[in-house]
Order: sequence, then C-alpha cells, then structure tokens
Amino acid sequence: MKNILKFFIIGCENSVESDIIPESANISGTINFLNINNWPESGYVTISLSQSWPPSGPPSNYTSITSVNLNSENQYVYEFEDVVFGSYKAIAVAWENPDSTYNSSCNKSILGAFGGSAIDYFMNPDSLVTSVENNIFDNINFDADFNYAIPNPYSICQPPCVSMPTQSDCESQGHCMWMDMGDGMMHCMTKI
Amino acid sequence: MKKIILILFLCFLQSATIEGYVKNSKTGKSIPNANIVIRELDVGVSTDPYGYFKLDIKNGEYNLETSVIGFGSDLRKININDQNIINIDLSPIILKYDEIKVQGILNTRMGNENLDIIKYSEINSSQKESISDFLKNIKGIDAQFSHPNGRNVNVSIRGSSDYKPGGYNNRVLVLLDGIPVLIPNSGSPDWNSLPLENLQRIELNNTAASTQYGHNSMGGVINLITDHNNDNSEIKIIGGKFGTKQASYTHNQKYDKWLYSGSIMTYHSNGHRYNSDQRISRFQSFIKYSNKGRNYKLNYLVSDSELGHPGFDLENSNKYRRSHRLSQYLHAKGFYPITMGISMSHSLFINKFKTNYSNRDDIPNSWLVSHDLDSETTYDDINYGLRSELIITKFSRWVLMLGYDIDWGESDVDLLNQIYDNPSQANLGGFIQSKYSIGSGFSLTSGIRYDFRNINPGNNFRQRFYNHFSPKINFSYMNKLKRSANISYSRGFRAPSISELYLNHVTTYGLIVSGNPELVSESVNSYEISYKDNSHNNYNWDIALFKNNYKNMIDFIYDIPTRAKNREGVQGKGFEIDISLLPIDIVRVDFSYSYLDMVDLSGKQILYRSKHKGKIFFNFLINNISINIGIQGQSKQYYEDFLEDFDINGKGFPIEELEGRIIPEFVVSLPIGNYITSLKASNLFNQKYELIQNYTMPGFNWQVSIKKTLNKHK
Repeated sequence: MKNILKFFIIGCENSVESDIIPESANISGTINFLNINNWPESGYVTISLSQSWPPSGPPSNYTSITSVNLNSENQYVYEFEDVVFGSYKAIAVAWENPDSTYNSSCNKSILGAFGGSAIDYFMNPDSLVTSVENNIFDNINFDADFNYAIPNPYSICQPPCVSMPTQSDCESQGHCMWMDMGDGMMHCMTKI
Repeated sequence: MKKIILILFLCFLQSATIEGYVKNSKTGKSIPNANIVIRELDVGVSTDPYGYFKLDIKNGEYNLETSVIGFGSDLRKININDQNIINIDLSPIILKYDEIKVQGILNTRMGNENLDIIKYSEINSSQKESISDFLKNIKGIDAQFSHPNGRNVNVSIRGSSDYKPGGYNNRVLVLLDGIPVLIPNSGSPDWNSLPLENLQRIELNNTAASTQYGHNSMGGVINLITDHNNDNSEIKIIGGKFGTKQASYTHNQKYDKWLYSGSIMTYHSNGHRYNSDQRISRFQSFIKYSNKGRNYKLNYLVSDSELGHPGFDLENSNKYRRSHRLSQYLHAKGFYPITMGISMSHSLFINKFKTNYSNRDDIPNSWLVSHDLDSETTYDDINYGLRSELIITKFSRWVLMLGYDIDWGESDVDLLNQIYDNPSQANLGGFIQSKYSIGSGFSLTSGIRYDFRNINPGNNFRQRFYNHFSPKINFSYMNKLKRSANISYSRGFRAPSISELYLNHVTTYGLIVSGNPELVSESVNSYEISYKDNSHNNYNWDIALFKNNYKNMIDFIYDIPTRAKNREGVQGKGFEIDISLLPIDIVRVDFSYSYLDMVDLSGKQILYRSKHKGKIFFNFLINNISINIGIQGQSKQYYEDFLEDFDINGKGFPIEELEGRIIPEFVVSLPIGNYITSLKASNLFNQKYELIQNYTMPGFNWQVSIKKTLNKHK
C-alpha cells in the first residue's frame, strides 16, 4: 500500500532529473597505433571490451576500424557507452586474420591491450571495474603495434612459435615446427 | 421446358408480399433499421427510414420476428396469402448487460467485433497437453516452446512477438476470466499454471486491444474462461507415453443462489528427453453468488510445477537445470445494477509467482566445473490490481462504458542487474468505450484510453514514466442471418518490461545479455477488415485481412553488445481464412490457413515468423464415436544462431533456417457405459522438428484418457 501511495505521489511530481544516479559506465581513451605500414590489406581491426580474458565467447562491446579512422598522428579515440556495471578483464586491439583456418576465437592477433605487455603476449592486461561510483573511465590509453599483425604467432589460442625454448615445447604446438634457419641454430617457426 | 414454365407459373401464383410499418408503441413514431426475419426461411429485410418494409415470400404459415436494439422483440405467427399488410408496434426497453452479452452486441467489454470464440467442445476434443500447445494450432496464433509443458513459452498473435532466450517481449495479454495473469518482470504468463482442465471457452481478440486493456495488449488478448454454472462432478484420468500420468477431479455444487466449484489436477511425466521428470499440480476453487442481476465471485487458483529446465540439444548447454514455480491467483469480481440501465462491475486481483532455478541432482561434476553458473537463481513477483467499469445501457441505441484500472507489481529477480533493488511498476488507466447502433445491422464502436505507467528500479535510480493514448474505431455490420463484416483501426502500446530494462545475465554459452534502461515504449497501428458467414447449413467461412505497423518495437537483438533495443519500421500484414464444411451429417471438415509477411525497414524478413500456417481436420461422428484426424503445418522460419561465433565482419550471428513441417495426429473418443474414453496419437510419423533453435520437440506420442461425469445435482 505504501508503494501504491508512493506511485501517486511520484506520478504527480514533475520528474526533474536533478540527481540522476548513473546506470551505466563510459569507457574511452586513445589508442596509439605503431608500425601502421604493416596494417594488413585485409582483415578487421577491432577494439573490444571483454569480461573474460583470454576471451571466451563474444566480447561485451566492440568497434571495428580501418586505417582511415586514424587521425594524423596515427591515433584512434575510442569510446564505449552504456557499459553495464561489472568487472572487465581487458580492453584490447586485435587483428582478425581473414585467411586463418582457425576458428573465430583463434584467428586474432592481439596488437595491444590496456596494461598489457607483448612480453607475455598481452595475457595479463589491467582490469576495469565499473560501478555507480566509478562510471567514467577516460584516458584508458595504450599502444597497438602492427608488427604483431602476422598470421597466428600472437594469437591468443596459438602461442607464438618463437617463444618455444625447446624442441619438445615447439613440436607440442600443432602450428609450429622445429627447424634450422641457416644460422646453425634450431628455431621454433610457424608452419606456413 | 413446359414443365419448367409450369413450375415457374405455379411459383408465381404461390408467391405473396408482406408489407407494413414498424413503430414505437409509446410514441407512434416509425422505427428505421428494424430487422424483420422469417424464421423458417432464414430470409429477412430491414425497415427503411420511414419504418416501412416489404418482403416477397411464398404463401404459407410462418414465424415473423422483428427486432431492433433498444426495443423488445416481436414474434408472431403469420399466415401469408397474396397481399398482406402487417403493422408492428415495438415497446422501448432498457437494455440489460446480460442481454448485451448474449446478443453479442458487446464482445469482451466492447472489444473487437471480430472476436473468435473457441468453444469447450473444440478444446476438449483436441486432447492437448497444455493451453500453449492448444493455442499453437489456432489460426493467427504462433507458440514457441521447448516442449508442450515447457517453462519458457512465447505466444504470439499475427507475429506480434517471438521467442528470445535473453528476455521476453510478450505483447499478448492473457486473462483468466477477464483478469490479467501476467508475471510482472517479463509480461508473460505462467502457462503451466493455467487450468486447461477447467476451460469452458477461449475468447481471442487478435488485434491491438490497448483501448480496453492498455499496456501489454498491443498484440491482442487471450481470455481464458473457466467460469461456468455447471452443477455436476467429473473425474478424468490420462496415461500415455513417457510415463505420463494425469488425474483431475472437478466438483460443482449449487445451493440456491450459490455455486461452489473446486477442481484438482496432478500431472507427472518423464518427458521425452533430458527435460524429464515434470510434475504439475493445480487446484482451482471458486464460489459464486447470483441474485437478481447481481453476481459476486471469489476465485482462487494455485499451481505448483517442477520441470526440467529446457536446455539446448547441445553438449554444453545448461540442460542440467531444474525449475520450480509456485503461482497463486486470488481474484474477486462483482457485478450489480445501480438503476435501470446503469450497472457497475469491479474486479480485484492478487497474483504471486515464486520461481527457483537450481542444478539437477544428476549434474556431472565436469559440467559443473566448466560452467560458472550460480547454483540457484530465484524470481519473486507479485502483482495487485483493481478495475471498475460503469456500464450504461439506458439509451435505446447507444451503450457506454467508462472505467479505470490500476495495478502495481514488484519483481525480485536474480538475473536483473543487482545495482537495482526489486524494481516495481505501477499503471493507472482510464477509458471510455461506446457502441452506437446505426440501424440495419450497422454499428459504430469507438473508444479511447489513457495510460500512465511508472517503473521504479529502486535504490534511488531514475524512475521511468510512460504515458499513452490508445484510440480505436470499429465499423461493423451484423445481420440476423449470421453474416457480419467489420472494419477496424486500433492503436496499441506497451511500455518496456522490467526484464527489458534491467536484465543483466551471462548465459552458459558466454553471451552477455542486458536490458536497456533507455528504452522508450513501443506502439502499433492495427488495421483489420473481416467478414464472417455462418448463414449456410452445410458450410461456414470467415476471412480477416490485417496490417500492423509497429513503432519503436522493443527487441533483444543479438548484436554486440546484446541488449534490448527499439527497432524502427517493423510491419506485419497478412490474412486468415477459416472454412468449416458439413457435407453430410456425420462429417465435418475444418480448414484454416493464415499468411503472415513481417518485414523490417530494409525489407528483411523478421525472424521466428512462419509465412504460412494451416491445418485441416476431418471430424467424424459415427454411432457416438468421435474421430478427429488431421494435419497441421507451418512453413520454414529463420532464426539468429547465437550459439555460433559472432562474426565481427558486419554479419553478426549467422541466420539459420528452421525447416517447415507437417505433423499429423488423430483423436478417437467413444462412450463406454458412463465413461468417455479417448485415444490421442500425435506426430504419427515420429518427425524430428523444433519450434525454437535446438529444442527438439517430442516425436511420436500417445495418450489414453477416461472421463466420467459422476453425478448431476438436481
């Protein structure tokens, strides 16, 4: 009954939105693209917001770009609006290799991730936790390097072959082969 | 040739004319548009503006009936020979509401004139497992569910809505004896709780009905009528494939002006696959008092259902879930005359739903580990409402209804975004409806309703306010010979549901589905032209053409992010045909076909809508043995396969096809002593088919039922 009375009282009020509590978050920042000369001729570059990392299932939000979307300083300013409050494990830039024979969760090369490092293949980026109190995240800036836009090596599903220190490690990866590159040393290389 | 001339000559000799005037017995003024019918011949005529009529018939003795709204009918025997002058005086009367209902002047609170009434005999002879299963085969209605007793059901009229695992967009208002029974968080009913065993008839309004009912009825209204005046008791036992067992008992008892009715039903089935072990129990009881035009009724229905959660036919789906729901409905209604020609009705309802999802006991540990799923989720909903109507029938040609309704509901649902605190919603609506009889069977029905709706998410988050005017206008023609034509326009609306606003849910297949607090309400402009012809002895038919233009249609779109959105430019159009043939006494053939073309702005077909749907049934009645054999079919429909990988190259989730199907079934009923036994077999050729993606429907199925009327009270 109290609620019904409240409804009438509220219904008669002028709904002035003076103290609006935010119900979703905004995440934005600038991505600085490096080595854009290596931007592949085909394939999509996407900026994604994911609740799980490495990703399982579709991202929470994403946007696709091409080189024409970059500004003169090879930067792209992104923004995710109306983001549902929660914990997000990564904001990352990936290139999807259209010629890959792997499935869609394994045909992407990570070019960069907020708080991530190429040393560990961007597997440990910084998380963002959005809430009523923390609903605006700007300056979530990071680099994305097109040198990593090569088929498969930096895929989240196929660790780069060059990182395999031993022959057994290398050959345990289906997409790698242990071979002599002519320098007298054996290397782990991606199968072509 | 001579014989023909002779016959024609004799006919000419035998024909006669009757003519005369119809007048008001009190004022002496002429009455235009009065219906004059010769009952034996099923021929008739209407009086002209001066009250004059003329009719050519053969000589003989007949019953002549004269009637017009607002006047008492006149029935007299006439002996016709040659020229006859018959003047008829009619006395003005004040209409009673009961009389209006009986005569079909007002249908379901002045709803659409093209209302379809599905009778008890049709419901009973179909031997369906659930109401949603029964509705699936009615023209213009589509139902999507995992199996006939599935928890999540979408019932759509003329393509108004479709199944969405991420939420519901039910646009069809479901009433139980005229009172809403929707679950507040989703706007859909608990189909398992609705008592198929007690249904007396179904009233189906298949156009936007917001002028009568406001929010949630923009796709139409399904009114399930369990009310009756029966005075008997009945027991029914059903057994069938998959270990199906069902028993129901109904006891009705009259005491002077009181009627008590109580019924209990219990059902158990192992199901047809992993959604096994379904248990449903229902108890419905009402008490009714009737005296001198006053009616008061108190109705209580409780349903307890425990079902295997419908999971996908896939290894990684959450098929190891169960759900339990307790639904309770307490409804009170009163109708009483205030003075001659003015009546009042009130209805009051409380609906409560408590649902609990949990893991099944046989869940493999590996599956439990690989799915980050809450062991238990609960939904707790409550809804209160009041509706009052003032019905004015004191004018001879004009019936008016004024009223208001108010309802309030609250939802505590785990799958809603937990930043909110038990969202609540309240609605206040006021309406006026009018029906004016122009004469000669023509009438004009119009109405308008205003709704104000408030949704409060709690925790001091911003409240949403929606308001809408819903007008309608309906021009119809109906004559004594049971032909009717109707042209109507109505506008419907629906504010977003709590799920559509505040859902926040990660599915077991990794898709994040969320509501959208910025949604605006949706509306539809509905147009319909219909014609019914029930005048023939050996066949009846009807046809309806419709067009629905939606604005801001709310839909869960499988895009990234996956969230509820307002869609522009959705349009549905089509037609429905019903033909019933009675070539000989013992055979009736029922045929129906519906066509639906539903597209968006770009001309793309809207998903989960079949273009063609139809059925043909042959009903034989030989020595009290009833045999119904028939097929029902539906053409292919498209769906968005959100279990596949999302293609970021602009293609989204792949569009797949659910194949069309033709499913045969038969029901044989025969009386054995005091018992009526029935055998039903469905999906005779054991076809594998789905109503929604990856939910395989039961294959060949059979059931046997035995029914006995225990006693007839005097």
